[in-house]
Amino acid sequence: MKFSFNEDQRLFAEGLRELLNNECPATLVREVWEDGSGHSPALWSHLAGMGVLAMLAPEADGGMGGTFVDAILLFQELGRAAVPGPVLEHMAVAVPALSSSSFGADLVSGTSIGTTWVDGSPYVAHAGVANLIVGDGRVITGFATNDAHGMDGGRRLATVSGGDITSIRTSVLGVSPFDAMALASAAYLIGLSERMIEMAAEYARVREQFGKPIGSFQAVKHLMSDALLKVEFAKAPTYRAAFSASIGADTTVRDISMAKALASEAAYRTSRSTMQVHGGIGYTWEADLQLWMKKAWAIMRAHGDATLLGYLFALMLVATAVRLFIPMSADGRDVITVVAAVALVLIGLVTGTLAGLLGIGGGVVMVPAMVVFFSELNVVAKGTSVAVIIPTSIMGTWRNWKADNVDLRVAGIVGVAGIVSAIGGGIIADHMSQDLSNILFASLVLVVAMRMIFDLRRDSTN
Amino acid sequence: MDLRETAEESAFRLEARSWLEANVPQEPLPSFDTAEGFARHREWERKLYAGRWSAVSWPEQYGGRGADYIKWLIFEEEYYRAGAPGRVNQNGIFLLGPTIMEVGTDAQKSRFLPTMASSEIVWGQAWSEPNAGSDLAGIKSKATRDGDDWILNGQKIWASRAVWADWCFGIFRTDPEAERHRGLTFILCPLDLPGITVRPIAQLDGDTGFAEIFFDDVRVPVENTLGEVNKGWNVAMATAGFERGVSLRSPARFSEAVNRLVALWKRLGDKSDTALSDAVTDVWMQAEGYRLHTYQTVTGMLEGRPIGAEASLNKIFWSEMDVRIHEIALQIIGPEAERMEGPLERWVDGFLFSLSGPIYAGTNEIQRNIIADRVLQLPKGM
Repeated sequence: MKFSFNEDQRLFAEGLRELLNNECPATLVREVWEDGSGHSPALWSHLAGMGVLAMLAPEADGGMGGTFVDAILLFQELGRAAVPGPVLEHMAVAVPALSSSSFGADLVSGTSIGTTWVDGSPYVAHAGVANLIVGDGRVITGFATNDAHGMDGGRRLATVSGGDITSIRTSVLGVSPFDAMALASAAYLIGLSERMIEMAAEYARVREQFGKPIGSFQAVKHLMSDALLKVEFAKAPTYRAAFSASIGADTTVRDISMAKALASEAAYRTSRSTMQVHGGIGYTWEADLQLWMKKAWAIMRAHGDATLLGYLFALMLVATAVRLFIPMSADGRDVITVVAAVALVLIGLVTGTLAGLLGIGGGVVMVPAMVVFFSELNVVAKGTSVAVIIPTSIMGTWRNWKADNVDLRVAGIVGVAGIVSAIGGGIIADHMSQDLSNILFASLVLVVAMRMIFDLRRDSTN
Repeated sequence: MDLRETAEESAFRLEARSWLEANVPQEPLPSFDTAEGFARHREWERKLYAGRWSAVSWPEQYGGRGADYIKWLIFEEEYYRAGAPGRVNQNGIFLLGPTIMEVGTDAQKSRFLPTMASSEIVWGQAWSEPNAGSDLAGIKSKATRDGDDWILNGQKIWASRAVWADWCFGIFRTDPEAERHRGLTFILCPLDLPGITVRPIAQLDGDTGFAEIFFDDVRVPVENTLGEVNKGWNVAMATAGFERGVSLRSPARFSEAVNRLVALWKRLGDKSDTALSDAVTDVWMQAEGYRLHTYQTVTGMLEGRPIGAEASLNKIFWSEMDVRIHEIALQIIGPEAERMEGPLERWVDGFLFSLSGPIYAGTNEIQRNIIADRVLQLPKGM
């Protein structure tokens, strides 16, 4: 166990920080905002020249052959400087996903610019400056764009129309483009936060009120310390997620979403605290802080807000299904009772009903969530916790009914269907092997998962 | 970076696990803040020592295993996993011991460390005073030199474990003329000497986990001085840094607590309450974040990057997380959370205990000041 970066990784990050100090000062970030381009070709060629853009492409394709661990501090440095343009999208997705394709050479050299469209948003960030857009399993070229007036001038949003679609494998070193963006964004958010804290600390040292620097007041010190606390404790989970991704760990998706969640929360808290420390200046267009805050607010919502959870839960459903397909050990099987099997079948039906009629219900989400998040392998524990949902729902319905909150027509359809299928399911389950009932449930869960993925992808392409 | 365990680390984990499985008492011991519980915990510490598990990170010559910090963390994970008793000599083994190793003389090391590892001597802490709490440098208890002895006079308060402990360590003013932070000396003192009165203080939970200690012309030899005379503040801060930083609350404690919380949620939680499941997930992520952060800190220490003022970040993080874990647990428990005895009393006890976290070892407000001053370089306010 060794949780640290090696000399090369640290030196490369320091080199990038130095480059960005010179080539990406706040004045440049502001310039790019104000000229409406959202991108600096000069800075882009510096990043290409240093090898940053091609960090994640294999050496055989002209890249640096780096892993996510090699890249994670670079994402963080890019955030510190609030680097504008599609640098994350290009570096974390377009280059590694496409480096060996016909698009590869130009992407690796940086002469062609790639952005991504994988988070289910109706808008594509940076589409106006990009030559190609990477979606899940496809690349779009030759598209037209219409600016959508995003809040962050260094991340122009656009709607996209037309274009040619090429179907292509878009795996990013074994990680989905979506997860690769979430991971890169987590580190970028940490970098943004670090710089916001520095700006506010600098301001608090020089701004005087009551004859003293405001940084000497405890109210200000505590605001600042709390922001730092959030940021520091988001770092280790983010680095761990990079490590998990680089070795293809089973927990990669979980670890990435944990990193993104913590980094987003840290960046938001930091933006609030540092703005407060700046006082009235913090609310002005003139203060550089806004360039960082708005980028944080944009990115914390992208690459894994609700949609990340959607995908994540779909994946957890798949994981649950896979586990059920695998026959349990003799010990495990001994304790699967008829009740547990019936409960599993019932829940399969409830799952189907909820997924079909309502989207996604709490129980469906919760159980696989607990299975995956907390490594709960015991089928009986699972079945038991699953069974808890049924009386809970009955009670909830009853209470809602008393409060006139129930649409009886819909409830009737669902209820009758549920009762009939439950009885049917129970009879069938009694005459069915436990492995088979597990497999049936698993299949149902799989269908739900695939449907969710299908819906999410359809949303993102529309 | 490689976050996987080495074969050696896994072997160490298995060795610790099998020893603990064979030796951890089946029934939980009574609280070590009761007379019986204290004695039972001392017995347990002796057993740990006999198996050379009481101070795994100490050198072998003092009863440890010379394990690095990573292995120490692994041991802690196994310790909490096994549900082993609380460490009655925490003050000694995790606070004073490392300080003695850093600043003590060879004679002090061989005199104090082995009896500390075996808990033949259990240590209490004597730092705060009625008028020196957060403002610790306001200490007024005096040590006056008389030949080869110090004469101690004054009053200490919130002295943890002092009710039943054998010795205590504290800081005393030795140069009243000097600036507040200078002129203090770190002194080790037996608690059964003439002139010492220990008055137990009942805590929020009713147990007497801390005490007042009155010193009335108490005579201790000068070789009980730890570090240089008039440099006690620096010695104390080294101890405090270690306490806040790594050793006081190992991540395993919280990993174990959140796992119990998840089990509690599975058993009793309202599954339709998504705010509740969010809260459970959130605190689970915090515990995981604390664990990862600690592994990162410890790797840094092994690579020669010692922990500094950022130790204060840890103290705020774990203490507030601990409160949060217990708040959620009590919310899940519902009406049973009002009872001090019952099947779920551990959560209620744990809640009360967690409330002390943001206060002891330097209040979280003081920690925030330390972070602001030393990490963020904000101007001093006081």
